[in-house]
Amino acid sequence: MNRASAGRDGGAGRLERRARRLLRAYPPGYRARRGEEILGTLLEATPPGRGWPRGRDVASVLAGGVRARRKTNLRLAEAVSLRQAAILAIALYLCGLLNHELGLLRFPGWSPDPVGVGWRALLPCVPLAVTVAAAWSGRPRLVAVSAAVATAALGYLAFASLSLPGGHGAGAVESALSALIVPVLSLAALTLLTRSVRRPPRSWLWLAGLTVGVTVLRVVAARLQLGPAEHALASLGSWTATAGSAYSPLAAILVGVSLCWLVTDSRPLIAVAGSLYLTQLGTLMAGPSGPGVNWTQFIELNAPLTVALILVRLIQRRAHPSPPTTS
Amino acid sequence: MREPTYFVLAALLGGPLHGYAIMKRAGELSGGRVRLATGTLYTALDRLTDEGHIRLVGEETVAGRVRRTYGLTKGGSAALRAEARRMAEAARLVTDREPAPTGGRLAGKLRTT
Repeated sequence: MNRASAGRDGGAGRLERRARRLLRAYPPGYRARRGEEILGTLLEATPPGRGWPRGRDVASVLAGGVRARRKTNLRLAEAVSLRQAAILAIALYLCGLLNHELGLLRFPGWSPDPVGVGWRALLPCVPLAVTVAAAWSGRPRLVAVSAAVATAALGYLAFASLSLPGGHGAGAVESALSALIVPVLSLAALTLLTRSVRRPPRSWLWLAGLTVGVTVLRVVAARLQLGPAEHALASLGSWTATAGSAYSPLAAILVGVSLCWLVTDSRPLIAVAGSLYLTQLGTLMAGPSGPGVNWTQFIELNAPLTVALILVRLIQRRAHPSPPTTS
Repeated sequence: MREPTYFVLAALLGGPLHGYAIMKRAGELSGGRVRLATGTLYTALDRLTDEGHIRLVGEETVAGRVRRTYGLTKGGSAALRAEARRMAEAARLVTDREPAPTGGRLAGKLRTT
């Protein structure tokens, strides 16, 4: 093979690789059905010697991918669709919970321990992470087991904190019990949901990864005693509203990302809204001494998002094309 | 019916074609005006298949890749002809009428008085 033909073959290989990458715009099921056919046409339509498909082919494949994804999502039954959104909502809430517990984690020699839970904060983190991972890998039994372990660990931690200085005041036991209501119900709901519905799309998982990633970085910053970085990551990774801002930065990022996602799928926004509800509800149930939200704020925060969600759902359903007779 | 859809159906009047051949034929029939991009073509093919205007008529493997050919259905052919008639009638509204003389009716009236 001479150098020119080797270069030509290399160019064709490069073009095919790039065209294949471009086809990822389509949903996996559609790609499996039509990917090779579209690839063939895309390569035929590209003039010889080019390393990239033509600009208008790139744009049209991207737009076609968005359309195909929207169509695939709208084809799902409403109940399945909402159950998958509920799984993501609970997973995001559990990641927020995991963040909270990780934030309390301290080992001897680390920065000062304001709460005094120490290393025991790690106990619910592992089963919470396993529960979320198992929900995504479609293992309902593992979800049930790890949810039970997480419930036990959260219960242990809640009652262990009663023995800490200042932890056994009036109503402390009631407060500890009510703080467990939302997490335990969420874990139970996740167990039931994963038994009855197929696992949600993997592409949603990075929303959960983002929330946990921020807190893992925060723990690392705490370990390295990087005060300002830890403080910045703590305020970024907090789920609940803080004084002067309706949503925490992380919640705002998740709402923003899921708003962009509306182009193809409304479920991530439903899930993010659901997880915000759960988080705020959990804070409220933890008692009046809990940080952040009161009932008035709860309604103020969630009313616009609820109205927006209902509108989005209605618009998307109406936009779903019932096959017309002419195009 | 939009112009690209019309030319996709028109391209299949001569017999079944595969994706790239439909793109080329639509371009030729429209005198180069309709230049279908790959993504647009497959979105149109999906929609037309769902609507029952075209159907898959064959499948072969070329250079290790699936190549499918599509043909018009009776419904597709009827829809294409109905659209062609509608456009012809619309065109006749313009081509069958003599343009009014410059100045219009008022000028004609003034000339007769």
